[in-house]
Amino acid sequence: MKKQFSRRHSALSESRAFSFGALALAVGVVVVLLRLVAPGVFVAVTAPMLSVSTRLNASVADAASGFVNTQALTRERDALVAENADLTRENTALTARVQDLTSLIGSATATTPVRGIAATVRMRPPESPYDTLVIDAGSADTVSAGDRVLAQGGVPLGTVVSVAAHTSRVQLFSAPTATTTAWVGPTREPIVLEGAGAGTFTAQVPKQTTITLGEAVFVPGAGIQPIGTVVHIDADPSAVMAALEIQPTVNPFSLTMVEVVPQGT
Amino acid sequence: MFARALTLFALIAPFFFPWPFAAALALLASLQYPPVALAVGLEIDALYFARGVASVPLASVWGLAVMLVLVVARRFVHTRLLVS
Repeated sequence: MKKQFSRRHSALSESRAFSFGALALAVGVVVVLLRLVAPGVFVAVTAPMLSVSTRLNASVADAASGFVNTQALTRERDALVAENADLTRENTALTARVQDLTSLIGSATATTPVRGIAATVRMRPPESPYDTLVIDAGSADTVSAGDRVLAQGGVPLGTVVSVAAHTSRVQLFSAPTATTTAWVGPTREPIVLEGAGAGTFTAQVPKQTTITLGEAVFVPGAGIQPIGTVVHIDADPSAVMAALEIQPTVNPFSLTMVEVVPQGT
Repeated sequence: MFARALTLFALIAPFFFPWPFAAALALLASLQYPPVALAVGLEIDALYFARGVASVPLASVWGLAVMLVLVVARRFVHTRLLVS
């Protein structure tokens, strides 16, 4: 008769497993007791292990990132680089705008209230003909025809001649068809400025005038505002009148911001 | 032999690896030695538990639950083997 073989149940093997499990449990209990009884020792013992853990986790993360689709990462990186460049350009433009606004209307701590409307110059000579400016303020911003336009420092530039909803056209005092009353020098000798284009003016004065080179030219405004400087006096001996050539204080070719002041202000 | 090595690895895993990894190792090791689940739970709570983060030390509670389940399961399996 064939002996049947059956696995003999061994109580010892089961108890061995249980004893090893009990040993493992004892390790856990010891760790808990160490934390409760001697937390300083516990921290001192576990801190180096946890720092190793941090480095291990970082290494695993680096290794795992190698399995990410590199093409997708490259595309994402390129998009971020382009976005960064756009933001840098925008930041530069905004910084320049803030500087222009600050020089035009003063800083936040200035005590003088701003009278007018700050407007950006969209087109200026020589892009725009006839010594005109196109600014981005219009009737929606309470700009109206006849309003005065000032540059940085309150220097008069011209007047608003046509208004749309969101833009306006400004005729500079230097426009060829423009005439403006003004004064020259400390004696305030009255003259009539005639626009000569390209931001310059001329004026006719009697040949016996006491006006000299370098004297400032003023126009009426809030007080009197300097608009230019006499740079040349053309006195023909046979002529009765002398011609003044006046260089403007503000170069209209480089205007970026202007202030629009209502009439009568 | 492999089970004992796995148990030792599970006991030191909470100190060197994230807790999910240690919990997975503990679960595997406790299939052979059920008290390992409670031991690893105690170690995880010793490292990370603090008053206020939870009402009870969850890792220990889960370890105890897993240990009890596996003890019952192992006795059931042994009984079935004996019977068969």
